[in-house]
Amino acid sequence: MNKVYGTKNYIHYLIEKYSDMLIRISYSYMKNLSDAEDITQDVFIKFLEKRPEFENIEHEKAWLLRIAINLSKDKLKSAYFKNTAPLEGDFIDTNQKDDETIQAVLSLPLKYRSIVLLYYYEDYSISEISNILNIKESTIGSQLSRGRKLLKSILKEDFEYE
Amino acid sequence: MNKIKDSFSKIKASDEFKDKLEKELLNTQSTLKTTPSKRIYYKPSIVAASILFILLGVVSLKLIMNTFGTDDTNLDGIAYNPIEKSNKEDNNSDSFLVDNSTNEKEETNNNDNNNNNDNNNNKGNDLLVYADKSEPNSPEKSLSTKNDISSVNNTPNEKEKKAPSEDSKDIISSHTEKVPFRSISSNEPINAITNTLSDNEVYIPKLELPTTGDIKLAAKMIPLIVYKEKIYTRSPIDIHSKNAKNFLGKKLGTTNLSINELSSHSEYSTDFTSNIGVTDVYSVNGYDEDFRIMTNIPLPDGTSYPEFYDSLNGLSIKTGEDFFRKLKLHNNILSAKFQTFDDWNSGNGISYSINDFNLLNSFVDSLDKSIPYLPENIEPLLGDYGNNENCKKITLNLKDGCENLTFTVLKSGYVYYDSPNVYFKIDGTILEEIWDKLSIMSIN
Repeated sequence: MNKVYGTKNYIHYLIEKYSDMLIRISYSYMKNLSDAEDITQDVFIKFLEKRPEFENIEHEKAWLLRIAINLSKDKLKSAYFKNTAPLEGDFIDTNQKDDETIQAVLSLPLKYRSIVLLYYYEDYSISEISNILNIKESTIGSQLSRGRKLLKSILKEDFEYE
Repeated sequence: MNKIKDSFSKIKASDEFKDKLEKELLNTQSTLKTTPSKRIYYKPSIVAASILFILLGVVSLKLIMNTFGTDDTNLDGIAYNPIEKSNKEDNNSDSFLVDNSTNEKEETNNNDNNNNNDNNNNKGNDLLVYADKSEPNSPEKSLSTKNDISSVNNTPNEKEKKAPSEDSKDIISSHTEKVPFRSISSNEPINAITNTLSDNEVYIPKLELPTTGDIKLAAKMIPLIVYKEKIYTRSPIDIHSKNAKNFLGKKLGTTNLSINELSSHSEYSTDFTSNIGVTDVYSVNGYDEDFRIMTNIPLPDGTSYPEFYDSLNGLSIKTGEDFFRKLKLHNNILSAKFQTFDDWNSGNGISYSINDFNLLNSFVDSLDKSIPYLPENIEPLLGDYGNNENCKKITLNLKDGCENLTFTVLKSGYVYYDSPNVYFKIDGTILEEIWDKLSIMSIN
């Protein structure tokens, strides 16, 4: 693997390794695929611009997640976004049950969404999420707990803890 | 695979998007600056030769000075004088400043002066070490200086001992205040440390933001607002939307610049600069504006998303009251609960209500009287307390609407609140009572 910044191989590696993850976390904020794709592209551009150095792969992953979350938040708060309506139809290939779960997660308050996703999808621990989001571990714990309760009430069933 | 993982795995980048993205990035890459990395690499052999050359130069210079230029006859032929070195260390901003007026080793006698430290900081048996906060204050490092300075009697002036002046206008610039802390021997009992430190105050330095583009720190950004030359960081306290209006004070301004991990240092210097997007900032009814401000982002469903931002840096804490009075805990507790460490850590939502308000009031009183310790001084002695045996989490909800003030209570008698980064040693008897009662509650 040629991991020299900017080479075609490296860009290919980045996209293959992280684009799904970034689309997913951005989607959890933006609730539409086109905005999530825009943010994913912006994250990669920032990455190539800044050429950050990482201690390991986990650090690299956390950095990308953090940038995606920040860009998503910025976009949500931008006047442009507030005054535009997202395109209808996301063309995500899901069945009804998946869709219910996705919609249930997306209906959570913003602060719970990324935590739930990082915990359940990316398998991060509370401590790791705390590092990525820069929120206290105690807050992560309580927000995860509340997010889980909300999900349970929406989906009308118990939720797996692990 | 859990249900969320299963469902969200369907959300992924399409092949079409990936292809398009790859082309875009290749185009972008070609237009980006192609300046090489600022890091310069040297061959190890060149580095070794340079170091050797510098060392030879220094030794030669010392020898020449000792031969021709010194009045101190005791130093004839001596290239290195430990006493001189220690004195120099005291005046060097990069080194540790030491107050040790006796020649005795402090490990053996630090129990004797329990009550005299307020008057005798410069003459007691304690070894006070002043560290430049720009250097890591590891206890190991402090200990390593002990031997070097054990025979030196250098008393730092009182000005150096105090927390740095609040006059500093540049809240962002890296500072070099001398912050008092005490070195602790790793084999010293905790109680001994506690006693000898009973009147020391700790100083929480002003929040330092990276002055250079240290990319490795980039993923550690704290939500913050700059206001009146102070940095307010997001509080862990929750506020329910319905209570937001009770807290909203006067509007102070609107965050006017969106900074992020990639912003330059100079972008942190303007009032209402923040990394939380553009939103209005308010004072908080009932709380000191120097300590707490808030935002209240309106949501489409008519509710809002209130958040507190607290300034808990650039702060001197002599007793717990200096900090905890800001939280307004007295006669303000609406409800309380506690969790075992495992329940809290796994986020399983299991908690136990605390209905004994006498116990809670004792807890709050003891917090006020508690003694602060910087983590670097006490954590090596506390060890890994992250388990049910040694740690519980007490969470308070206040009558005024503040929710989830969580305190980490350690069996060893220390209480840790999320911010500032300080441990508070509370009265042992009260802690024992609290610990026992909570343990009984969890069993029942």
